[in-house]
Amino acid sequence: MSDPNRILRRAKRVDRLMGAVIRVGGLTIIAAVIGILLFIGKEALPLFLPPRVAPVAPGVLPPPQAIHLDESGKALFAWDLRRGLGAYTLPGPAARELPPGPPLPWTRVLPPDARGTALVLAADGKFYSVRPSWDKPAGENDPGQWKAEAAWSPALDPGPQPCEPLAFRKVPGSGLGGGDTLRLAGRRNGVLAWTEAPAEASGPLAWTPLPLPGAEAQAASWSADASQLFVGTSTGRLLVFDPPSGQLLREAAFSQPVSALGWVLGGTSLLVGGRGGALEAFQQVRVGDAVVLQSLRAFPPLQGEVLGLAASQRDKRFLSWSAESLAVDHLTTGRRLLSAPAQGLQGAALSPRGDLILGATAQGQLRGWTLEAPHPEVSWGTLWRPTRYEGYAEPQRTWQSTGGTDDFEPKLSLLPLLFGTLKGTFYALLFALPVAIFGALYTSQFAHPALRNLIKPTVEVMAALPSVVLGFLAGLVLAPMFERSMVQFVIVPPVALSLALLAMPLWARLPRAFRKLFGEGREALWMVPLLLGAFGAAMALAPWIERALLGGEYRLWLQSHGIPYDQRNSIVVGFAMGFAVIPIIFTISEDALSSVPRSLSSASLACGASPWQTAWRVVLPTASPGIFSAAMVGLGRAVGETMIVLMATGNTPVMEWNPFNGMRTLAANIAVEVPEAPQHGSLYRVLFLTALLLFLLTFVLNSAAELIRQRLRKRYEAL
Amino acid sequence: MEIDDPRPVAEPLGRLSAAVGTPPTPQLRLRESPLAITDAAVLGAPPVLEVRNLDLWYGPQQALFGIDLDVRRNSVLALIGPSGCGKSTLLRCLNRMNDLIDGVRIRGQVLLGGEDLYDPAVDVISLRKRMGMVFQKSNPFPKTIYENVAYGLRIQGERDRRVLDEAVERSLQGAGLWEEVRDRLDQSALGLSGGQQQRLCIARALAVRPEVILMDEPCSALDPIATGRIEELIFELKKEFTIVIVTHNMQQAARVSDFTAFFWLGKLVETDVTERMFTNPRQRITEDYITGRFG
Repeated sequence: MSDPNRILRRAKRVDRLMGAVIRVGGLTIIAAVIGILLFIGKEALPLFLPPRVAPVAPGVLPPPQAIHLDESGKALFAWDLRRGLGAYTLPGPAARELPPGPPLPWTRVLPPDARGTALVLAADGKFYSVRPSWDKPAGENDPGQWKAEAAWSPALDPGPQPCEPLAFRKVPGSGLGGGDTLRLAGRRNGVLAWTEAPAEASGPLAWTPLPLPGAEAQAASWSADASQLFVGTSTGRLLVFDPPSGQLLREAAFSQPVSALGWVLGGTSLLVGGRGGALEAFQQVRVGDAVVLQSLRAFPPLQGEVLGLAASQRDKRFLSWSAESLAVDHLTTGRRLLSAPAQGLQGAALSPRGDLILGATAQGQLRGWTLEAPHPEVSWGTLWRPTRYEGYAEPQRTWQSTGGTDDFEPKLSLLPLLFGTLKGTFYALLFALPVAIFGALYTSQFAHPALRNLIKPTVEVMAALPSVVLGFLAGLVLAPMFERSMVQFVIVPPVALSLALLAMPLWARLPRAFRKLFGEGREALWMVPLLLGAFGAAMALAPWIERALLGGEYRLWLQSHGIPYDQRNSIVVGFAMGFAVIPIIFTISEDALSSVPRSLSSASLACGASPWQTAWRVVLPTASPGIFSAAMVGLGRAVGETMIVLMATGNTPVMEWNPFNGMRTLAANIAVEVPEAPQHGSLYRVLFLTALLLFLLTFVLNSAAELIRQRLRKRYEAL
Repeated sequence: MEIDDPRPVAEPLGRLSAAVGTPPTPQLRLRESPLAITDAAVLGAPPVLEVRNLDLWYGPQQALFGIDLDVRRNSVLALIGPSGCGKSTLLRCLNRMNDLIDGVRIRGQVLLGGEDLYDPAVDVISLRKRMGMVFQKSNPFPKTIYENVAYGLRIQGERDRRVLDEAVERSLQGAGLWEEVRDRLDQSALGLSGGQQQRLCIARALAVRPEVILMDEPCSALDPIATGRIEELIFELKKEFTIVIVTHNMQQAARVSDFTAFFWLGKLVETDVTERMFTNPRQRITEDYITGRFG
């Protein structure tokens, strides 16, 4: 107490300390925001990383005709014309024991399908099919402990004529008696023919020729259920047959003589390889009333004739190889994940997970690559541009992240979400901006001070209403109410406006003393009965209007004009979300309008301007930067609003401005999909990308609002 | 300072005429003033504004007590008195700016050309067009110089560019600002200096050709040179307009006004021709205030 220097020193010390604390706090907040941004960015970034390819050198095999990789990538089967079926484990490759197969040497091997089922034409001129597998005792991880098994089918007698097999499919029995059946297609003396037989058939197969005028079948493949036969010809035609009727269902042109056919996971997209290395995916799709075979996407060509095609069992990537090169492409994006030169390649295999590629040369040299491409289905193009998806005739902008099956093709276009966000925001602001700004203008410039002291806190309390409550009310109360009385709702504003326009001149004609006593600054109270009257009038008029003009049922009327009506629609959202953003827009606008110096409005009034002219020509323009910033803050709030849109929009990712249907916004989408997104999966990362987008959107909006507010402050300093 | 004598003096000055001729109290500063010479024509002019027995309350507190005051055509009336004495309140009664303040109650009459401003039938807005006002702090709108001056006409619905151009030029010339701003009419008024802004506000008030200009301490925020220019301007303006000016500056009141009214605690202590007021006030308290013994 006694020493003033000590007190001064202490005050300075405390000052420094508090300054430091405040600085640390501020910097922590900035660091936290940047940290969140970086984390979100880090989670989304792997979407855009290029695939990582690393060569591996697994060793040498007796030169195989075809190989098939085990799911683990640690073991493989190889079909060799002279040595038959071999089982090998990696690394090594170490040959493993297998029971002997059909008599050697074989004349032909039909390469294994995705599950590893292959067909061989053995020395005795008969067909044998086999699906070799590994017996892994109790999930043993060490391939050294595994045992190779291969159960050969009984011999199929192709009959007296030699037959070159092209396609083979085993159709599981229905379970209602009758076992599995086999369907085979092949070339007999250069003529395409097919046959069907029970899996345990013993007699010679009965072949039915399929007419193929002017061309020779080069490759064939059965559809997944073996109901249709796809054939590629030496003249570059693709044909679809319905074998039982022998009918040619449809056809398409390919640029080169076809050399290989294969399927992408799901069996919807047919892969076609050409003799010149061309690579293209085809699909059967309904266009109008007809089903056509059309090109889905062309891929960069390989060098040399395409020898084979193999698909991953996880996603839409597939392997294609020629005698000179090898490539892995993704169907959805059309992106080439791996491309490698490989001289003398004969057989190749893609592991079911798609992360290991093995190729075997005619000399038996094995070449391998590991491929790390965790998000091949996402590219900048699929996120933002219309994309051709399986089953669609036209490029689509669709968000459909998950489907019922594992072979579903995710559709991750962000456009419908961004559109939904903008649409929801647009309808919310359409409702909120006029109400909030004119409300603020009224409150700050016209309302009686007693009324103002009531209105402002009330509106600010509105902001405290949890948005989940608003969303709940909007979705479960408002939406059905609107559906019942949409016509009333639509005609209330015009009715109220016309009533007000009628009432105002009447009000002005009332005796001045009466107005002074009951009216000054309280005109708004007189609007209440007027509005109630308008509401009543609308209620009374609406059924009549609906009957007279809309044919008795407005939804049918809308439907007949091509406008579908959803119960959870943009109007409901606009109303509910508008309700959520009104307080913030109102408060900031009101502050901006009230902070317009009184001297300016006094000057205007003293010039003989009416209060309205003063408000409109002086106060509003002067406060306009503040009002603009209020609108921006409201916009930012509406963009990021989640709960209301989640509960009241129906979350339909459609791209239509129609006010009578819903939308799905970026924020609601995150809330909806996060529980379904496996960690570090593509969807998970795309959701983080949308979060980043949302963050940037609100960040830019709020920063712009803040900058404008700063400029506004400077502008007032001059006054 | 001399007063032309004899001359007709109207009530209430007539009652005070006895005071004329008494030896002037030495007012050295007054003699330096080059401006204020009350001319005889003004003394005989008819009143434009008459305040009759005006009482005013802010809520329960009475701020003006039975004010009676005349403002003669083409004269300058200075309202002086210590802070809070009610002079600004009275000024704002003259164009009903007090209406904007909550809880104000007024009794009595203010007659403009014989018509009571407080008659319920009077339209406040058209009334304010007849009473221009200049405020203590210059308050140009954040618009261009041109739009500031044209504002009064624009709100009356004037769209004719020629009429507006003409009015802007006339008003700016009237306010002595034309030569300074003629090349930058389309620039923001906020870029002008303080004195220029105040003259712009005067030009804005002139544009609608009011009958009376009310000035509420128009120079209190200005430097002496800018103040001097405004004072010259007031001297010019009274040829065309009637001016009521509130001021704290005794010299200013003495320099620019024809008549002076002294207020104290909400009451009009005395009003007189300025020369007489400053040389020979009838009330002791007036003399004390004028000579700076309190204030």
